Amino acid sequence: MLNDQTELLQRLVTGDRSAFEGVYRRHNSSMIRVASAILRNRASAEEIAQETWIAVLRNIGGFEGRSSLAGWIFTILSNKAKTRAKRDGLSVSLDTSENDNGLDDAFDGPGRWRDMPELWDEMTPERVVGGRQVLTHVSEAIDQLPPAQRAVLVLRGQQGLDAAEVCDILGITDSNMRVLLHRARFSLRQSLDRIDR
Amino acid sequence: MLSCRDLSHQADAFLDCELGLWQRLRIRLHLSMCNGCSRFMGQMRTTRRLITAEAQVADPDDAEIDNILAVFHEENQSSGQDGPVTFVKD
Repeated sequence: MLNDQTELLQRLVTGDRSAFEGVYRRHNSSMIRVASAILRNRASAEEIAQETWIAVLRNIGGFEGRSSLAGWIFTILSNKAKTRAKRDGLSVSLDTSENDNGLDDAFDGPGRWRDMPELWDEMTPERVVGGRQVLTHVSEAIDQLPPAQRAVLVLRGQQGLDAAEVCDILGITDSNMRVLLHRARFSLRQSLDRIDR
Repeated sequence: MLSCRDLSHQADAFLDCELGLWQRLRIRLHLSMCNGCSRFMGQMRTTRRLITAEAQVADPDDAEIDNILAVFHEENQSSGQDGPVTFVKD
């Protein structure tokens, strides 16, 4: 794996198209989501993602592997997004006090399920519900998450960055990050439960 | 005694292996006796798989990739460099 990464880095240094395309496909959509969580504006987020890619290619020769490559890329992205946010007069801090959209209404007084949860035997990515594939529903649900939950879900739950990297990139504590991640996953579960009914 | 509500609050931490031994045992005992919570835990596992699967649906934009590489190569040519001009340490 180390040799694979070394070869990838060497190819990125020269701007090799297929190497860059692989990294771009792996991260670009997530980068736009994280940037939009900071900037609250997709068009600005797309610009920042593009600027980040150019900075990545320009500076990849200096990457020493002390963080993950993805962590390094998202750090550059987050710094650029925060700079743009300051320039545009936006708050650069993510609001981590977003409302808990938990399941409490699903339980009776003693804490038992009011209605039995459904079996999700057919909840596969390709299944079509309401005229759209399940994954399309998932994408929409992620895009509708509160910004801080969305950013944590993308970085930790999808990109697989270490908890410490996520906290550094977003400027949040470890306990905040865990709460946001759990809330995001709950929200997604509720969205999927609604489409299955 | 762990309630279904309590379990729902701990389900994600359980699946992330963040809970201690005693908490995990209590949850496993509850799951062995509660169909509702077994189904709910299955839903959370499926949700997490779908979240991962969603990330893997690449949305390639060839024009965008070409644009970025064009800017990169142009910068290198105008600076007379074969590689990056400045370094950002990680």
